[in-house]
Amino acid sequence: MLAIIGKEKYLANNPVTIKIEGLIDTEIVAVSYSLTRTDDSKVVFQGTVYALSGSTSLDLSDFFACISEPTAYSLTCTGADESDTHEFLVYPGGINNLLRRILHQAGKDIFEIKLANNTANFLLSTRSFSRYIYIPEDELMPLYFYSKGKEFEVRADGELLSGFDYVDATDESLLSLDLDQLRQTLHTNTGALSQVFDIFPAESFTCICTIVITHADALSPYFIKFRNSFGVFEKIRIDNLIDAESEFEYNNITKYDSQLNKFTLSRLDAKMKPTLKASLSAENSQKLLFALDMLLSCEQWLIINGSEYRVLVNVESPIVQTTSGTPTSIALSIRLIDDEAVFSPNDLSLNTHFGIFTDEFNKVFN
Amino acid sequence: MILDVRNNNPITAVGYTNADQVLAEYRDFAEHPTLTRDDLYKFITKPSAKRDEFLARLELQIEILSGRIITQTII
Repeated sequence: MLAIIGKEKYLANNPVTIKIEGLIDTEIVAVSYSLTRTDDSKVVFQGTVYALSGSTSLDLSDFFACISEPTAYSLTCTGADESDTHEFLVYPGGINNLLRRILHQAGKDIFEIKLANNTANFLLSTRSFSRYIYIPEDELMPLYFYSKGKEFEVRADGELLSGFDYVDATDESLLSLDLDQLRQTLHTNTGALSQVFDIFPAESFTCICTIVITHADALSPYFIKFRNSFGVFEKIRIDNLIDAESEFEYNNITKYDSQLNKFTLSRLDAKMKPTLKASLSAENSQKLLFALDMLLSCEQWLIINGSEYRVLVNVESPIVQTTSGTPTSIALSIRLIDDEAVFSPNDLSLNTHFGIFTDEFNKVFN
Repeated sequence: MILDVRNNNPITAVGYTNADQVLAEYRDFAEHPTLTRDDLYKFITKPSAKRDEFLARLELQIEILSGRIITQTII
């Protein structure tokens, strides 16, 4: 009898392998399958796979590359007048091959160990998978987690700040813990400025995760925001950003000039490719691993004084990884994704400064 | 490759338990008597040369407690 063997949860950037078993093993059987997104019943893909010896398998990971939140799917397979349906959830992101091997050998998966584990560091930050997460104060962003089945408390200096209960939640949601907001609320209400936050499972005295907000390593207004390997946003500081080194690309043609009866050069278009140079300092091996996650990200934004620009970050030189914790510097080139074909001065004030061309004229020239 | 993460943990950000005393110092430092706790929060949590100057001035007047991984400023 046809049966689909698969897991309940998958990561989109890792193989989504589903086995189809129980078919006749003496002949080739065509199995048609249909992949449907559950929430809007949209059929994502329909196809046919052939089973040679009573079973076959499918890798559906190509269909989930673009998801940004947990999404439910159902797979229906039909072959030799039999059918079966399997429902599963796909989460954004993935883990590396080494960790996959380690977990496979231990007979576990990342959901059991981390993402759906109420008694471990379940936060989606890739700064650390251990109990301690160190975040420089200028890189602090909301910390994301999957909510279903979670019940925990956030404490600072032993004082309960907030409690979260999603034990009865039926749908999986991607939520975030805004430590900056919690910190500010605590500061406003009690006058305490905390830099260490502990996460405890409900009614437990065992801390599962400690988030330490650390002193900024250096003063820099430049950051790279990126989508980490779990598919959520994080931020890392970069240093020594220098002005754009733009390359120009010209598309010239020769054109017939009837007055001179000869060919002259003419320009069809010109493009400017702005590239910035910067460096990234990894003061310890933990930060270096976090930097590697940024460098492997496909979605990156350069933050300059709060403004964000979509960029592609490339490494300029080989990265030396050490086990001694020696600080490392990584040379980067940051390419803005837009090739500019026209130029505009970007000092447009949007009428925020009063002057002679605004409604509110004053005598001071500005 | 997974590297061994060494215990060269960084110093924690500034912290205190009595905002009123820090706020009084901040008002004096900024020469602005109507600054609020929210103004202090925005100033104290955003790294800047001015903040470092304020913290250096503050450290002269307060007790500092150093731990293994935490340097906590207590007022």
